[in-house]
Amino acid sequence: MNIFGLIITLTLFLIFKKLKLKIPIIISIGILIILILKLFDINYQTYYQSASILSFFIAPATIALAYPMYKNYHILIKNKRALYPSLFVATFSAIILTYFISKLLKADYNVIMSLLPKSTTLPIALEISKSINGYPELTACIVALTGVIGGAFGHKILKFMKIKSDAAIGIAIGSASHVIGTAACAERKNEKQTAASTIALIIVGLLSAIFIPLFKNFY
Amino acid sequence: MKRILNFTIGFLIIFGILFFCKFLINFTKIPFPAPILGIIVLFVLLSLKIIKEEWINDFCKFILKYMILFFMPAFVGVIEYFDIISKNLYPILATIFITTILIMIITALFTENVVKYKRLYNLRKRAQK
Repeated sequence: MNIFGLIITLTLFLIFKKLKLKIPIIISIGILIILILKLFDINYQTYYQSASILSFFIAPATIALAYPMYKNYHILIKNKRALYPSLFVATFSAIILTYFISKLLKADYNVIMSLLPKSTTLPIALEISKSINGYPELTACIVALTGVIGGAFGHKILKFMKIKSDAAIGIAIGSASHVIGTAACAERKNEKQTAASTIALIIVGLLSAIFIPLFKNFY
Repeated sequence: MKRILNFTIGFLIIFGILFFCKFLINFTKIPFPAPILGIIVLFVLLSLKIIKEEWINDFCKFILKYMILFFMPAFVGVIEYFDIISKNLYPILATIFITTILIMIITALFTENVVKYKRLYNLRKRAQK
């Protein structure tokens, strides 16, 4: 059995985890692996098969999201009436805006489907993308980019918009740019923002998993 | 020793839930992703205290810490789509950029105003009393 893909991916991951670069790991390692594959003229299928054991852990890692959700749920209970509607607004604005803007810009049908789950966290996004005939691999790339944009500009934009409450900032960043945005909140050592962002990213993911396939049936 | 035990228990619980959800979805034929159903099942079990937090926290923390690693094979798969991406490059990038920022602004404004409104409402209620 061939495990070169597993070894390359693991080694790069451990090295980059130590380096703590500004660019998210998924993008820096992703580009490196793509370059390696191109350089040595290795077929993607060969790489995928040799590293596919990693993908096996996506499903259990998805379920593990229930743990941070449980730990941060108190934020939602405390502000029930205020935050539930915001999470619905976030989910629906994400679906509707993404659909119509990408349609307006004349993206192909399957590309639009790959774009739809872009604000949800990766494991959920991949599942949604599969179920609505998107390209899961393209979705993975789109989701990572979305996170980078949200993480890099989120706080600046919200500050410019004069948003002050930590709940609003956390919910907005978590629901627009999932884990990478949440990491930006955690970096600022703002616990309230991080907790709100964590809960937002999971609940928006769940809501999207329910509503995106329904939405797709209409279009 | 206790950590290893907890880790194993966490592993078994998570995989147990995963197989249960897969079975349930195969059985009922509801088109819903099994791992996402798993989040809901685990959350409910945790909230009802059927599963204790300490049984799963070691395993969950571990697997969430290394989550990005598991997505690398899928992420690298974009090389299969280079021609589709180059054809749709401008719509993809523009959509990502515009919508991410818009969603953030809409959600933040909505949340901030609802929170403010709630606070006013509570104040008024208290004043009436």
